[in-house]
Amino acid sequence: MPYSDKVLEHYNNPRNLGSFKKDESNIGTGLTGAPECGDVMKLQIQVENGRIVDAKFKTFGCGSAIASSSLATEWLKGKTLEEAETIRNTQIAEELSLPPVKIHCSVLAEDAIKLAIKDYRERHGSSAGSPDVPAESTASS
Amino acid sequence: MATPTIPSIPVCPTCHGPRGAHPLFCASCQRLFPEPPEWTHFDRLGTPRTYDLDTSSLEQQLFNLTRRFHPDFFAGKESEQQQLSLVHSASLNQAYATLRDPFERAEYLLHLWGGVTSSEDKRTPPGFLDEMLGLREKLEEARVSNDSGALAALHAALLERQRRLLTELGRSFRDVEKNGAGAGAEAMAAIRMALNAAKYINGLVRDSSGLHRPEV
Repeated sequence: MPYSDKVLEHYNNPRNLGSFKKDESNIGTGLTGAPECGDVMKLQIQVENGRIVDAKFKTFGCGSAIASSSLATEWLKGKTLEEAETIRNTQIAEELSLPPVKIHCSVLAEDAIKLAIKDYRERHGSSAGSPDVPAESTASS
Repeated sequence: MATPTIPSIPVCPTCHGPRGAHPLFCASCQRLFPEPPEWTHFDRLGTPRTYDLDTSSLEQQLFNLTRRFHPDFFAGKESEQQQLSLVHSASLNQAYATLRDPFERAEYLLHLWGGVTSSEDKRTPPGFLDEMLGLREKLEEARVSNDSGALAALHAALLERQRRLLTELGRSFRDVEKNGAGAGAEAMAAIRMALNAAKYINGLVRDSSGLHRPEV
């Protein structure tokens, strides 16, 4: 199945490619991956006064995963954290006309957005109001 | 004194001769039978359902049964027999491909135990994705700068990592198998996580292998 024009466009001209320093206090980082395809996606948001002023991504994966994260960074800029939380993978898949076998790439992007917001809130516990407990509850290795 | 029971010798419904012990064919007239329900890849290759396998005996079984089921021998038989020879041959190849590969074999065993797939449980060990991102970046860097030494070193390190994962996996399976038939949920989750990690590592091994040529 060929990629849609929009996927190719993001793949060839990825928006907001790069990284922020992850330990700066106004940065939230979401790192996620899909074992089935070995894709790794890092999505970061820079937040000022509850609003996302910049976003960057770095994705190692297929064209759909790159396009999904590239599009996500575009959509995130200018949104409040609450607005950003409402972005759904179905919207990304629809915008990029992803075929069913590539829907999981858009799920990765949604997961990355949520993790980035969660990460930001955890380091900014005071401003968000909810005293989030860091809950990366994976089994101990 | 109890009368000894005479073991019943399975009789072939077609030739009425002794059909032998194998459920899929009659040793007398070579007629094929359908697979019993819940027949697994382990049954297909006549090997115990365990992670530690003797892969050379697996190959021997493959050769023996491939000849036994070969469609050429059934070309003149009725269509049901032709069909069975095709189905058995295909299943046999599938079984061999699955059990020969230690990662595929692990996935398959986990599946037989009722474990979940990697899309149902994507978890990886803590810090693992960070490490993968770092390795991907290194790989990209080495590729862009055409640094064949760095690529070879990366590839070697990944192969070592893959070997360690296999050792761990073998140990996990032995532990579970030693403690009885059913695997505990916790043990299965740990195996799932190790197999998820293996998928990333295997992808990196693959991607780093085609990129550098050994110096001649």
